[in-house]
Amino acid sequence: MNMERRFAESKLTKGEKKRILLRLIRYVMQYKHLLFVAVFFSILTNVCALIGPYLSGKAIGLLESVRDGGTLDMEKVLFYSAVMLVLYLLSALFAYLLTLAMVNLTRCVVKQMRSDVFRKLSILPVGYFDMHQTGDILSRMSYDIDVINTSLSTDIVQILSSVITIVVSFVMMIVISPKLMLVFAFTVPLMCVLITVITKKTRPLFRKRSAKLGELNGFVEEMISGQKTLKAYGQEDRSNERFAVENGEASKAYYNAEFFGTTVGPTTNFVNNLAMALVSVFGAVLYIGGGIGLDGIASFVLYSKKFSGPINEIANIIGDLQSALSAGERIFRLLDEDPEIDDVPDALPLTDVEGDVAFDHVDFAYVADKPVIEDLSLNIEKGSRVAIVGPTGAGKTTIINLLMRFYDPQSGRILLDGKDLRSLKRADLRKSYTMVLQDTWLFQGTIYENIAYGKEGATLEDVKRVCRAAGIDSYVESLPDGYDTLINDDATNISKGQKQLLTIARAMLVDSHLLIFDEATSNVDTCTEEQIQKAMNGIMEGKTNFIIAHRLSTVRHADVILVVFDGRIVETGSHEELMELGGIYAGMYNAQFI
Amino acid sequence: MKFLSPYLRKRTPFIALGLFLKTVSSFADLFIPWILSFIIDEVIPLGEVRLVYVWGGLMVLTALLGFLGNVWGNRMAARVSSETIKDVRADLYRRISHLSTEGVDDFTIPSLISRVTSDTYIVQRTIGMMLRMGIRAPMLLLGCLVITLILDPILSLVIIAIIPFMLIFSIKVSTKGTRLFKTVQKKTDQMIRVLRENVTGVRVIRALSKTAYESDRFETVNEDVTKSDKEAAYNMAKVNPVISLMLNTGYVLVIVVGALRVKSGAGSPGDVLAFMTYVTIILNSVRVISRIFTALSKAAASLGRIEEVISYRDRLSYREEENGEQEDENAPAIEFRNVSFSYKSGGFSFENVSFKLNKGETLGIIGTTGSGKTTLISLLMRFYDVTDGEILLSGKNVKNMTAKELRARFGAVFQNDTLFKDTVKENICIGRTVELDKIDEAIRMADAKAFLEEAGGVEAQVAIKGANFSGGQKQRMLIARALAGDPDILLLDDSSSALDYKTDSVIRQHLAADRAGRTTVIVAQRVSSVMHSDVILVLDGGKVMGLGDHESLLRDCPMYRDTYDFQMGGRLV
Repeated sequence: MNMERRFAESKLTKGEKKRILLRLIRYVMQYKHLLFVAVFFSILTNVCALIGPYLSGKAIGLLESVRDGGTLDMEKVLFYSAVMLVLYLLSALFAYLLTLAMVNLTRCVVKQMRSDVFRKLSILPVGYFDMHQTGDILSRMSYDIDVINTSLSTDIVQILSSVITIVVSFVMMIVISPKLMLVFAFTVPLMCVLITVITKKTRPLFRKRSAKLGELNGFVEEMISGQKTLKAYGQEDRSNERFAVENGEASKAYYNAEFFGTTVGPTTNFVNNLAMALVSVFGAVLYIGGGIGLDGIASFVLYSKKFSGPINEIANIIGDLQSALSAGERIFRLLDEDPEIDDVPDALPLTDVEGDVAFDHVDFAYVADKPVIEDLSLNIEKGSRVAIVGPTGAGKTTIINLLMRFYDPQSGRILLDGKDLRSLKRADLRKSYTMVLQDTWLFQGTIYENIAYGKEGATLEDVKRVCRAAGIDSYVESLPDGYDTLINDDATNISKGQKQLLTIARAMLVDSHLLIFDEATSNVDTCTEEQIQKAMNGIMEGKTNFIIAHRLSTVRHADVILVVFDGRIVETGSHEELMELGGIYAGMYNAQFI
Repeated sequence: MKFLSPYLRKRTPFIALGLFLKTVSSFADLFIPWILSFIIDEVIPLGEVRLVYVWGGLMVLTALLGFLGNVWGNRMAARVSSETIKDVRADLYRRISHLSTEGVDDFTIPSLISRVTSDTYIVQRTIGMMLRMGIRAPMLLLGCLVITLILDPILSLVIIAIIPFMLIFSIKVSTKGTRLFKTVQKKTDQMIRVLRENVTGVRVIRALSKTAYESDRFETVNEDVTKSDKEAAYNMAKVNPVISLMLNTGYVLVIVVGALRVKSGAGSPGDVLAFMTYVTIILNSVRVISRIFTALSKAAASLGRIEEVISYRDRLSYREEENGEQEDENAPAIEFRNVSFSYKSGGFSFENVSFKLNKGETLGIIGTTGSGKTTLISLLMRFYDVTDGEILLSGKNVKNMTAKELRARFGAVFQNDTLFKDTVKENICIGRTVELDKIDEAIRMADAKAFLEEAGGVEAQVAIKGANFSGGQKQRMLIARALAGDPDILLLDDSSSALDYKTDSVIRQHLAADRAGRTTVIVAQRVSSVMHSDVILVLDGGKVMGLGDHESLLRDCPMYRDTYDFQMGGRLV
């Protein structure tokens, strides 16, 4: 698994990896004291553990005397053993403390990271959410941060203890027998060469395996999602044939990658055994020549086992780090997104809105070269109704994005009560609108909380009043918990239409002179629809209304109609003017009676 | 696990060879420390360097043998796991592609997808792991125990004594850990929920200036997650130090007991040194075995999910061969006779729906979401079986038709229908052999000619889910697909929702002008899409509220009249 992830994700350049690593380190360095404590305990626990082989060597050396006909100094053996036991106990204790320190460190880092991501999300322009899938954003917060969490909590400890183990073992082995160390001058480079050769060979294979698996999964997702269509056209067998091809390729790629990939474990195992054999042979030869004692051989063998351990681990750590870097990259990319531009320094507060809106030679495009609005000039007097019409997906929300300053026009101005929107405080501007969208956004909480959400300090009386106005009061009161009824994600006790009415009630609580309404008709039954219409008529009274219209009656009675087609505003004017124009609107209007 | 055995049995030789090779390599690994102890105890005292080289050479050879056995054993494992899963996946996919719609509903599409993708992958990995380590770890464990028992039975008791402590400790900590991690998962879900609400409600939150409030809300759940996560991690923090301590205590005990044995003349220094190595191997094997068990339980769950699909018994099945029953040319093209239906899951039902539609006529079905329009189409195509009554096509009951016979009649566009990643042409033909001029004609009728020419003609590529085309363009391609096979019955379920009124009407005119005996069913929410149909069916909550042509419904069906008034803005004409 590690291998595969490592190869799949190693697409970052060296420079990028370095930058991401530095940023991760900077996060960790915010908790210097914990890191310091961790390093301290890490040294203690490893050193305590590493004295062990030396003492066991000494103890085994003592055993030798028996062979030479002497007596065994049992007291000394017991003494060494007791010291070892104490050291191991201490080592375990320090290891535990080390882990506690690391847990604290990593959880602080992760918590900070989550806060940073969330804070960033709350200042990102709305466009970011339009362009990124919800799942993608959520997975950064859960999956990616998790990967970093795991990697930090294991890798830092691993790296620290590896370094200490290698250094201490190396020093001890040199002290015991520099000559025997020559064995490692042979095996360590051998290991490095072998691993490099295998990795070089397997890297493209693993990449291919991930790619093929991805293709297979993509195919399966597409076909199963479209199974109804396949069935309708009798294509089951054909899709099976195509699946067999993808399946065969994926299996083959898997096998090829595993064929070489699974040699890594045996190879490191082999080199370790080889080192052990060489140490035994040369140790024995040295012993016969009198160059080393049995205690020396014993200690050396035990240290050599410790020494090669971390070298085996390095491959794993690198894999982990690689995934952590990829995860870090996704998180930092989000953190580096441009936030919504700040209000201008002397932004004006907005109070007592009248509701006169004007577009003054406005040009706007989401992407350069694909203009959505070109040189739009419009005067919308307070209290008038603006209908935005056009087929589904034609870009009707653009106007709303501009009015509420979710986006700014590239050139020209939009004016509210004669003031350029950009000169106003954004929060005030947005508060001056009442908004009823097609997506009935309710969060997990009680009905009361959901309705009172828009107005700080709204009392139960206020909430009841708007529910009455929206015509949802009798329904809410019929629920066993009334206004305290909890709304869940999977709320089955509440229909779509009722949800819509609740959001209307919420909108009613906000006093404003401007209204944005997405007139969605498709999700509710006729009766509820009428109820919604009645509630909306109540809200619209005396406001400047922008309505994404689906009904002809709304359109016909609008003061201004904006016709959106293929992502652009193509016509503006009143019903009569547009009919006279005989363009797209007139065509659309006439078409329904043909 | 029984489910897998036929798949594995097909590969018995490879499995046997693999296991044999792994056994050989495990023995080789066990032999090496033994040689070391032999060199120290038996060879060194002889003082002959030549003999040392001989035994050293044997050690290297043993290591090499172990290496080769290991590598080739792993390769056998790779082969078995990849081929086994290939078969399992093929069977699973085949089962899914022939699953009835009811079966698909039972499992749900996302779940089916994840069964083919992630569950098979987990099983594959586990088979590989089992073949690689499942034999090696127990072999090493048993081998070590046997060798140590031969070398020095008393000394080996020290090691055996430690194993139960390790096991008990691991089990205790991980039981508690499982509980704590469940809490962490729950808190994480809560955090994700808050985040999701913030992402989906971003416009409302910004509009109401609740950003600061939401930040506080997130901080609270973030704090919660961190706290429970810490608690779980503190619990797990005990594991490694305690296990290491046990292992090291084993070391020390081996030395002490070994020394006593050596003192009494029952043991040798070489044995003690060899024991130190065996202790490590044994305790590592214990760790690996516990890991194998975790992996196995996970794989068993995945395997269960795969098996559930493959062994699913469909209630609905098609006749294998045509029964020779002839169609009646004069019978209505479509007839619903007292049809009742309810979903297995309950919730929605039809009761006693009857209507007839003659050949060449157009039926319009109108009603709100949840009124049963799509269900009616599904019954017509026999994606579900009626609970009562019968559905006849040209006088023949749909239940008496083979799948091929039935499906060949229809050309259908479903709600949220799928375009596949392929060429435009393939998307229109969708596996059928359709002549080029038929395709062109279908494209013309669907009013798709202009934009398709701009996109590069019928050979242009369509992205997954048709993402490179707009909603209206997609619907027009889908209509072309439905028309290309020159079907007897054309089903259009909400196929014009993304079209503007004008395009919608152009397509309707094309269909009306060139119908050549084709029966058409149009499902819509817009009155303007169905008002020109010969028969209009008004549905609400599974009940027929009205049946007739536009004029008669305006007169007799209040619901139709209301909808008409509502959408068309009063009687304007």
